[in-house]
Amino acid sequence: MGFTSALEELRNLEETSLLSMGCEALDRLIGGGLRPKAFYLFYGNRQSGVDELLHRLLVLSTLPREMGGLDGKAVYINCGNYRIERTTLDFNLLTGLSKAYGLDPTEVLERIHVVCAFSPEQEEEAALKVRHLVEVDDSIRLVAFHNISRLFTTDSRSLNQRARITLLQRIVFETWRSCAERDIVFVATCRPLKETGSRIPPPEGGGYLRHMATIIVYLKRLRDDAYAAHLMKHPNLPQRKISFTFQGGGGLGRITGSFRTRFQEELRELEGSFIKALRDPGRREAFNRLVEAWGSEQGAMSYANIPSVLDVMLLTAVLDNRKRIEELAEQMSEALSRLAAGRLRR
Amino acid sequence: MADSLESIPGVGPSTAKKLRDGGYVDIESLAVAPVLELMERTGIGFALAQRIIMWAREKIGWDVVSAKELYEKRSKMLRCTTGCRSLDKLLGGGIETQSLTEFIGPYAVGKTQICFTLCVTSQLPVDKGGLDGMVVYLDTEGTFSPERVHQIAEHWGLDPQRVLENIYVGRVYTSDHQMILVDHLPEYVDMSRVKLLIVDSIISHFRGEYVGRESLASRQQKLNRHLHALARLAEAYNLAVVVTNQALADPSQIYGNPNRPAGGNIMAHACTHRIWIQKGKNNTRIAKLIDSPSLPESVARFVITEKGIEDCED
Repeated sequence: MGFTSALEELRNLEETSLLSMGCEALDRLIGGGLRPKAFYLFYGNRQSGVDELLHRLLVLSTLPREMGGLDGKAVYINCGNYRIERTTLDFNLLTGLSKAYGLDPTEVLERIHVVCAFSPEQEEEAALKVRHLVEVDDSIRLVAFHNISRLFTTDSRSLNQRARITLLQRIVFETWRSCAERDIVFVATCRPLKETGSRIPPPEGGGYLRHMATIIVYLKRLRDDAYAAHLMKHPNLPQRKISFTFQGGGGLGRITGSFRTRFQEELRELEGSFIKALRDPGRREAFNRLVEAWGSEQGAMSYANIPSVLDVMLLTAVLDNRKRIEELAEQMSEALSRLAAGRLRR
Repeated sequence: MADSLESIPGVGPSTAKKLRDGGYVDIESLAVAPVLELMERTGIGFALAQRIIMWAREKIGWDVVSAKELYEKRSKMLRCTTGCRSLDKLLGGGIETQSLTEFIGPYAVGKTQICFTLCVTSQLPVDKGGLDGMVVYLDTEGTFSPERVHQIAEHWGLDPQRVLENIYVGRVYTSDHQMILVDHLPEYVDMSRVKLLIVDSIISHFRGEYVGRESLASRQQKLNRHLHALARLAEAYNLAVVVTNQALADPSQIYGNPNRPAGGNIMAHACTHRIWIQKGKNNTRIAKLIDSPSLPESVARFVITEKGIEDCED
């Protein structure tokens, strides 16, 4: 309750373990990882990587400490309704990530408490539930608010938006206090305000949210799997920008490579081992036709929705291949016999 | 303090204990206490409370004084450099003791960075523009960063370990906690050595706890009490008090700056010097003195560097 010297504070900080975000560049941007008691606000548009990052944090917080986790439980608060914004907890991603980190997905899911709020009033109640949860369960190490401000900023029915924003103030304050009094990391995501030219837009949700956040990071998607992160607010680091990619278990939670890339690798290998034989234009053409046929089948298969159709296509593919191989063999033997006839005539 | 509480006429050991439990550990803190607050916190009667306060005021010489004496008292006032010449100039030479200085601005504008720099510069010797004293830092937003203070101290050529040792940090989680720490400050720390008190930020808990118009009046009353407690500390112990305040977006304002300081009139009246900070071009920061009894309105520019805050290189 009283005072400690700043030197003691520094020593305590050196001893606390940080929560990694599973990406070294990101960790370095905010000074090594997420610190307990601090409030992190990540914001960005859809597809900006914000939602994926939140899922990663949920999984990572359950990892053992030597792997960069906090070896604890997490509370996830889903704030959104269908009409305003579909904020969803992506189980595919969660299980995929758990597998990628060598964890049992069911165990990870068991360690995540989920609280849902579909209206501003429910979100206020959710904050109280979080308070209750962290009081009861002292193994909780992360509280993650998904889209904390959306319900407050877009409801057109609301006549007095300012009164609503003050409601959000209380939610932010209560949750911050619940986390700061214990050793819990508080993470929230939100969307940016409307873009204004080339400048980076501030996070939506009012001034209080921005003031209370210890660290604010803006995320943006650059290309397919490349993202940019801007550090907007930090007590001891200057504003700067990095680009990064999510590694391991990314995308839709797939841990094996896609069939398509595997297929293309296989083809390249095949082509490599028969490089000499394929110098012949005829053979090359035959090979190309084969590749084309395989490719179109693969395409058709990936777009097919019904599994039984897939089976049929597979069978057709095998038969078709067989037929084409036979045709090729026929052509070959014909060419050989013609050659033999030519030699005899001589 | 030389005079103990027992030396007050009519105060025995038991009353002295009551006073100490209420947070009044020396004559100075009694001299600046309002009668009602003293009664509320110690449970003593009106007549005794009044007598104690009168005695304490006389003892310190705070009765009716001539303006000349007041001027002499003011001349004990010290100034602490902010590390940035233009900001010092704006403040008339630095942060003053015996008064409240308020820094206001939107997020990520450098309010906390100014506080960190002051944590270091206030420990410089007096002839180098410091106060040569200890610092009390009330951190309400969880932003106090010892690493950053370490870095700034290194760049000022001070021993970072010693600098950090001289900072008392109080992490505060509610407005009541914040008020209690300030009211009972003399119990926690040796006030004769403290020269700077920072509250970063003063308003956040009040804003988070008292939500909506209906609770505005009670919030402002509490805030007022808190601010006056700070002002009394500044006066009694010759302290520099620095507070930061958040900027509030006012949607009804269509033209000009839509932001205004939080805390309303109570805040505006209590703070001696109010400085508004905003972002400028090329990552610079602009500080504007918006209210001061003795200084003209002016503008200063600074940048945030490894040394804390510094002048812009123009």
